Amino acid sequence: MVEITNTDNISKIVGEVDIATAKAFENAIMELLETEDLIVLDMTDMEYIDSTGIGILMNLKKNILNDNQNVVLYRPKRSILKLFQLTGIDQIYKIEK
Amino acid sequence: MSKTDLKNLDGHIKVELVLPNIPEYISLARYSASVMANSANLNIDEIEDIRVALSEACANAIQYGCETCDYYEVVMELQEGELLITVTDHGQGYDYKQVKEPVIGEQVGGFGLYLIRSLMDNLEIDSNIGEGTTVKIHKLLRESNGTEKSTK
Repeated sequence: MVEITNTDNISKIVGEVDIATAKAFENAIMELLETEDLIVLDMTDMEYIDSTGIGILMNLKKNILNDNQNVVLYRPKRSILKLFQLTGIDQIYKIEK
Repeated sequence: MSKTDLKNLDGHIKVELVLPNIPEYISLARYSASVMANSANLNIDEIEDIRVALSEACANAIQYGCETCDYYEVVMELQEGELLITVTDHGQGYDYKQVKEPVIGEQVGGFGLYLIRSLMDNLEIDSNIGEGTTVKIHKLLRESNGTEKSTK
């Protein structure tokens, strides 16, 4: 289960992003990108992300963001940071620890 | 029962789940794996790794295995020296030897089996076209000094 709240340019994610909730995660990001060039994904209370969620972040960077748009990943927990390192997410996004 | 009082089970605990082919129910498997891993005195990082590995195996069963079946099975066994997780679907099966390692930083998908391999000690896949797929995930139980430990 996941709860995502968009405020200004920040998307706060609470709960788990997996194949059951990945679409909500993607929709929240796309909604912010309609009006903001710099968005922050607040992962402070994100408990979990699976390869589906990681795939959304990869696709966002590779195929959706334009040169003027940026996404910052804010304070992912240690276990999630480990997955970001294994999959190369940490190489393509700025991560605020 | 306490974490270490496994005498009546001869050091072997087994949990079996039959899960519907519905993504929301994967969290049930994750929770069960957390309880099992905690009972084996694994640390927080190891428990998180197991949750990820199991979830990826379940997601694969739903996405690639269960197009032709309504349920899949998860069996978790705590036995001497290891936690063994087996995920079985009775779907269409696939040629797993064709699944290539993802190119890190390039691909946008295909990380599931790679993450399981990266986080666990061993991964076995047995898939037969028309019969289904069985994935076995092995997590060795180690003492804090790095030596393997028994659940007894």
